[in-house]
Formats: sequence, structure tokens, C-alpha cells
Amino acid sequence: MTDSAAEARIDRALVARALLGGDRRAFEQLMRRHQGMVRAQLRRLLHGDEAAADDLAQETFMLAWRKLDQFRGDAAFRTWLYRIAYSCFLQAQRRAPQAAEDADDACGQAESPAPPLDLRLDFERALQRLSDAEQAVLLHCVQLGLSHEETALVLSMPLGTVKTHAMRGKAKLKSWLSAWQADTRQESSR
Amino acid sequence: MSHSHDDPIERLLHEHFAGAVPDDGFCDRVMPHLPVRRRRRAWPLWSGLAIGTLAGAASLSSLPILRTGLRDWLDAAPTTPAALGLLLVLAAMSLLAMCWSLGESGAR
Repeated sequence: MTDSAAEARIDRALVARALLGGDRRAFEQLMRRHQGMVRAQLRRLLHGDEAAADDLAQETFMLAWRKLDQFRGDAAFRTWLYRIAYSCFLQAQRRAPQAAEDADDACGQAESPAPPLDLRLDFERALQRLSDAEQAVLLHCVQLGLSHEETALVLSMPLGTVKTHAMRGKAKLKSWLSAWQADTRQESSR
Repeated sequence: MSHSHDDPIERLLHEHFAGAVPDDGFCDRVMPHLPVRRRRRAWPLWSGLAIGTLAGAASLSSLPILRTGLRDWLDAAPTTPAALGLLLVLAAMSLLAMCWSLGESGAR
């Protein structure tokens, strides 16, 4: 049995215990197993805002506790949690329209033809230049290690769109970073 | 999904990701805020089943085919049309119940 299959079995057993008698300790174990990655996901989505990410993570686990009987085991428990966390994130974005507008503006800039990056533009800034959808797809597919299918489930996107965003995002990063490397080489040769 | 990180961009993305956040008391802060789970009440389901069964029996009891089928069956003559009809209905209901049970257990 693979590690992920064993992990999934443990999660399902804990969910069953939490559901059967409202066992809070079983849910606490689930939370301890998954809080780290859920908070990492939200921190990334919120561009490093730790306090806001922790507030949303708390909201995520409260919702997960309330809706635990809706977890049917079709997907892994962590995928189910990521989906709830992403929904909480989207709702928070809607609650704060100003921040969402700023994000949209940033997204609009990212969609326009990108000027060559200068030397100070590091990988983090290159990531920020991607559209929100591309950032979200790369976060889930690559950094959180989900499959394309799981990412599609978490982000409520068609599978083809997820694959396209992943491919485009990586291609953009590659082109921007290769420009950065070329500039670095020129700078060092002077 | 690639776990090998042969792609330099994927490798960079991984290097750039801090990974799981340490607990640092997060769970202890959240646990007291969890509301008490309301246990799902069983009585509406059982009441519905009982009422449905009684209503079905009451509406079917006036049909002669049901009584005839049951009598033929009990008289060890299960080949009469009425008894066969009754058997078919029971078989169909059992099949439906089995499919539903299998579907539910599969979903779990």
C-alpha cells in the first residue's frame, strides 16, 4: 500500500470516528494532520498575509467540522479541505471588493505583454505577475502536489483549463526567468 | 503532477514554497470554537418509513390480486399469475434495495 493510500485510510477512519459520536478528538487529529498545508495554501493565496490566512484557516476547519457528514470519501480528505479553504478565500475576496479590485488590476497588468524583467525581479515577483488563475493552478498542481484532476476539483475548473493554465504559467515563468538569466550574464560579463 | 521536478520551473516553485506551516498553537486556538455537533435525529426517517408502509398496505389491501397471490403462495401454488406477480414485485423491490445499499456502501 502506498503512503498516500495509507494516509487516506487514516483520514477516513478519523472522519468516521468524528461522525459516529461527534468525537472532537478525532477531528482534532484531522486538523493537526492537515492544518500545516491548509495554512500554507491560504498564505500563498493571500500573498503571505499570515494573520488573514490563519483567520481563513480557522473558518475552513469550522466549516469542515459542520459539513463533515458531507465528506463522502470520493476525493482525499486533504483535497476536500483545500476545496473548502479555496471557497473561503474566494468568499473573503468578495467580502473585500477593494482588495479584489486591486487583485484584478494586478491580474490585468499580468495579462498585458510583459516588459523584460530587470535584474531585481526575482522569482517571487515573476510569480506575482502571473494571472490569479495561473498562480492558483501552479500552487495546487506543483507546490501542494495535487494531481490535475484534484486541482480541477479544488478550484472548480474544467480539467482542460487547469492543464492550460499550468502549461501557460510555467511557459511564462520560463520566458521571464530566461530573460533574467540573460541580463545577469550580461551584467556579470561587464 | 510531477514528483521528479525534472522541470527547472517546477524545481524553482518547490524551492520557493515554504511547505507546511508549524502548528504553533493553531489547533488549540481553534478547537474551543468548534460548535457542538447536532446529532441527526432518526425518528423522522423511521416515522416516514412506517407511515409509507402503512399507507401502501392500506391502498393495496383492497386489490384482489394481492390477496389472491398471497393465498396461492401460502397454499403452495406459486405458479398462478397472481402469485407470480406478487413474487416479481417482491423481487424487484429487493433488487432496488440491494442496488441502493451497494451504491451507498460504494460511496462511503
